Amino acid sequence: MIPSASAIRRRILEMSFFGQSVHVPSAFSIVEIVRVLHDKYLRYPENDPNSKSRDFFVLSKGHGVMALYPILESRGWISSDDVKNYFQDGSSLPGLSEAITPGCEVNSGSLGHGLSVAAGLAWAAKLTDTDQRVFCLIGDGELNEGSIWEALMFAGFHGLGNFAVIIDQNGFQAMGETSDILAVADLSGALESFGFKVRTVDGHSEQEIEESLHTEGQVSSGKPLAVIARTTKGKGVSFIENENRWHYTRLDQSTFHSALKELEPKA
Amino acid sequence: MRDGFRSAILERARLDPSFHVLTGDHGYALFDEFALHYPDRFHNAGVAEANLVGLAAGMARNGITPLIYGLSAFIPNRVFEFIKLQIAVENLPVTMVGDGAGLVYSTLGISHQTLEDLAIIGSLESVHSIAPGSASEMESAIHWAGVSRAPTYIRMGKSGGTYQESSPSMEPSPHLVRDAQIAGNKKAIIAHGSMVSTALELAKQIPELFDVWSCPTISPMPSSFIAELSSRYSQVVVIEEHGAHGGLGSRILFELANSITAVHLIGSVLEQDRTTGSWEWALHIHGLSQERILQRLRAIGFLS
Repeated sequence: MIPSASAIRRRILEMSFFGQSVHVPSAFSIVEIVRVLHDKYLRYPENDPNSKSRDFFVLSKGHGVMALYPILESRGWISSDDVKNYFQDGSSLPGLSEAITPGCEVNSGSLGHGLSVAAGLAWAAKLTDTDQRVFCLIGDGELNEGSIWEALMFAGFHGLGNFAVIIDQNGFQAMGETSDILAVADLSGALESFGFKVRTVDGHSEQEIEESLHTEGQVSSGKPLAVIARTTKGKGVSFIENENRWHYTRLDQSTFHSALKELEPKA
Repeated sequence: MRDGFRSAILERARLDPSFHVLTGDHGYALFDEFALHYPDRFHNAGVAEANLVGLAAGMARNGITPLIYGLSAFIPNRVFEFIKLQIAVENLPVTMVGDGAGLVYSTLGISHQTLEDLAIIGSLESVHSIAPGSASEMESAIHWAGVSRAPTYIRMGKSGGTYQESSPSMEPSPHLVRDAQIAGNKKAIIAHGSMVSTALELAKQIPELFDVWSCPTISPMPSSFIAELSSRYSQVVVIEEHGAHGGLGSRILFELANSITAVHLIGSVLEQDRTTGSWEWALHIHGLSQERILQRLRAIGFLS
């Protein structure tokens, strides 16, 4: 059973507070996306994260990995002790996503890597005629990386219909708003020009995300899919939402409990 | 050299149905025969080397055994970080061929001269690096990369700068290519790539006698070879079409440093451990905390 979005956010707060890690807002913005992927799409035969016939989920924005760990915990692939020890000495869970963790396919602490590897996974599936799908989640700040555009061009040109890229468009990157730093004026048009079928959704609506990832017909042929997920950085906690200083700020006792309170299940 | 490469990739494709060749839009006419025999297993991924490495990593994770080809100025030089994170750390069976290594494209200028590729790739312990000096050494390098299934960098130099081997081996290990055959000889030249041919030509032209070794395997360096060098020679010269730092000579010196008393090297002891923690914690795990350095100094007899 995949935890609810608010349960995942509470777990993220615990990891961040006890480990004194940062990147909480980056994880909060993708919670619904990774939930839908694990709950509705990703096929892991016999719940085996290493199954040869599994679908692949590549979290290319590796600094959002705290959103994924509670799901991997619920699947039994990592232990509660692993999660509790996050960001502490001897932790088996890297601070940023690494392939060493079951359910994490790529070392993606360095931005701009995951999409190329994901395209390779999808291409291999196409060449060997499997029905595997490959989903890759990237950040809108990550679009600054040139290698992203190399991979997009390749996936579009080669018609990787089994490939879906989801862009977490929270509007921020490390130092500020993407619109002030480096952004594509017409992202949807750019992705279409690279050969993608493009859909834009509310990135916190699980229903919209689920519907956007449907494919018609054979996945191994046709256009790859790009889903622009409009999200809120820090979604779920009022004083963290759209406050970019929280990209680097650690929780203290007061902010930890205030944040938890906002995420308590409604009566 | 290129003929050896052409025949070797055909042979690997014949032996391994999962073997695919990818180029980053280089190697004009080099792959014609391969593409004719295996049209579905040859791909031009375009002028996008970072993506090429990422693609290869993804393919290797999903049932395909790729060989990627580019100029050494780009693979590994341009894409070191992608190789480190996506291939080396994960020990994926990807063969990386860097052509035009050294000064082959000297007329094109600094962008295409590659005198640091072995230093760059040599910093990744899990990556095997091989610099063939003959067509048969190239064949054995391609073959060996398939057998070992280790991430492997194969350095391809000047096509004409090769020597003829009398007895080709299937393993690209160091071997004596000129035996001075004189009692008491204590001198040897060790070379790789084009410099093997150069050393052999020198040996023909000058009266002094010395042995010549071809050492295509840069990493991992066989310990038996180092032992043989130590016991057999009082003077060894390493000649390579590469910078003096970080190539074969540096590798031999590194190995020798552990067998003599004057110099010891203390760096990170860790290659595979993937746990994380604070900086102080990590220094300790890597053998670089004060406590661990003290232990290591005692272990080598530097301190009692």
